[in-house]
Amino acid sequence: MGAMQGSEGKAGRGVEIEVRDLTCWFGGRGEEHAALDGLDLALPRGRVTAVVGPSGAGKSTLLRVIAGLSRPDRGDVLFDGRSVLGLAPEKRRLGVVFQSYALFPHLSVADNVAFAPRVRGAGGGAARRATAEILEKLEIAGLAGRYPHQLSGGERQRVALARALAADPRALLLDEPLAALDARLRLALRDELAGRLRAAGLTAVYVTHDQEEAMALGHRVAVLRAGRLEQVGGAEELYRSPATPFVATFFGEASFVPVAWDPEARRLTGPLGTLAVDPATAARYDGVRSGRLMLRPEAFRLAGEGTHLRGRVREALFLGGRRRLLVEVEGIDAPLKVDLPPVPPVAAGDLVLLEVDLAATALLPDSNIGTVENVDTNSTPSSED
Amino acid sequence: MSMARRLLAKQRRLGSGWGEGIGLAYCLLLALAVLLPVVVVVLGAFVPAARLGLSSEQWVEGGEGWVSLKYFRYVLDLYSGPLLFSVGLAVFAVAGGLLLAVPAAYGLVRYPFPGSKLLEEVALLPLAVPGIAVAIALIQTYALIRGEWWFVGLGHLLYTVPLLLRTLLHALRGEGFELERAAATLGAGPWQRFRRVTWPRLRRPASLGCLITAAVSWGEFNASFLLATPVNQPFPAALYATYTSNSFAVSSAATTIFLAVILPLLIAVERLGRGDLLSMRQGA
Repeated sequence: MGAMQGSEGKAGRGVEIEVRDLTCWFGGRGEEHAALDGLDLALPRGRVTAVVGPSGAGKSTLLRVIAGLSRPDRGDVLFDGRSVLGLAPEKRRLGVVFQSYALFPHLSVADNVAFAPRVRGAGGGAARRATAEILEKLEIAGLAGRYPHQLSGGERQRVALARALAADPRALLLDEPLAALDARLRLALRDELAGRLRAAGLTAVYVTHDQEEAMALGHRVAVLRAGRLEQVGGAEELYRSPATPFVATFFGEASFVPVAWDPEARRLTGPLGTLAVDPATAARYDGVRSGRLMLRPEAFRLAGEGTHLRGRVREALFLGGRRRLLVEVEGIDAPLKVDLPPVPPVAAGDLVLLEVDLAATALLPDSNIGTVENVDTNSTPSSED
Repeated sequence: MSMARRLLAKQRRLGSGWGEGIGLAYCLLLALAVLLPVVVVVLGAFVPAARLGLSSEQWVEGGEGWVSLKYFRYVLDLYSGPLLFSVGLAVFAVAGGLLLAVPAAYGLVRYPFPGSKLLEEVALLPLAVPGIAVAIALIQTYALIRGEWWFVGLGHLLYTVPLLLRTLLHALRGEGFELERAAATLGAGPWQRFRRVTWPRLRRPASLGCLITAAVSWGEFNASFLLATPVNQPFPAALYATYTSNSFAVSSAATTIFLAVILPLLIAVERLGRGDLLSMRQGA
């Protein structure tokens, strides 16, 4: 998972960004809706925070407000603890990579990259040196004389990053910089970009609608939904211990089963039966008495005889390296999503005995459940969110 | 089989040939119909009237050969004032138009406000009003300053500003905000954004608008005719005077001078419109 994880704790460059109670209203009179709704979020210095969420979550609005391109209706934006709301975008010293890249079409690659040094008053020689250095670093020196329309999608993305870095920014803001690329190139550039952001060591905010991209690029991932923060944390934490069903299903597939938790006896009871929980897993259930147990498809194993979960296979799909089963279990409304190795073969209609690996589960308290039936992670990306 | 194919190919060639021939003939005929009056006028300007069998010419002396510039000399002597005035008017219309239309277009597109759309429609209104009506309205409203040279220029601006405004509005709307936003995040202030990002992208449509403006101003007759005074007479008004009170040869020379200015302008408009005149290296 995250190519950039594991460097937590190193001192980084740039500013620490914090947004407090950020609220932005959009739309005409009577049709207003909150693009951001009282958002509180801290973006640590030198770390890449991936902001992820479906269309309309408020990701791009958050970026625009931090960059000074939109003004919030309420709340504050702080750089190193000082409000920057009164600062025009040109005074905030940020590097922004737009979804469309927004390269200046009338300028060559070199002039695009030299734009920031020049407007900030660097002399011709200094601007040229800074440009050459950054082009060299990003391995695009050969493109210096070309114009944006002569570049491929991947080259444009690199030039946009070079231009943003040439501004010697205090933080980098990236608004879905891979969204305009085809799937194969996106995958290749994702890893490259992760490396480059890590090398830059700058505070960075990476907006994306793609959860894999967020996990690969972000030291931390902030999940937004309808202008509110659902959860923020490391990618693994979000996957293993989601706070809400929305986060659980945004970062993978899951089934939800109502359970009661007895922390003293370390026992889960519900339609799955009574399950003894090991101390490490029990620690993750801390503070919850009843709720829904989130089970990832990989939490199941075929079991031998014994008191295990018994179900009937409604559907079995062969997916190459695994077999996806939908298993109906008495007392559970929706069939469980179960991933098993392709061997031994299991077919629809078979009775199966399943063992649950509780390490791959999370216990979501009742107070966070409300919307479990309405989770929609299939929304398409939009630049207008 | 191969014979049938050859016949078919021949038929296709013949069909294509006939089609092309008819098309070419039609185009030539049309071009002739349009250009013939121009040819006649230009000929009339260069060839002395006597050579064309016309005897109406009495007061322009000299140049009895087949080709002569005597009528041009005469027109330039007689109408140098209106000619220079019209050139000045065109420059005034272009410069004034740019000064008024560029900020207006930028403001209307980038900083819209309630009622800005209505204001835009009102600003474009003079394009739909006949020149005579515009001129009469100006005369009635500003009767006291009618004698001023720039009063005629004001009449021209009423046409040229909307023309430029329309061209620039269209270009700015197509451009979008993203580039200016990007420039702002890179540290460019409002003026730097305009100078380094917006204006280079506007140069081409603005050049086109300026050429159209110059052509319209040079050829504008209706408003010019009513707003003109004996001292401030634009060339089209003088041209009209030539037609009513001078010979065919002199009128032809005056018309040829008029064409010599407006045709290159129109050709430039056409070529710039197609993107041939200014090489913009970006993929615009």
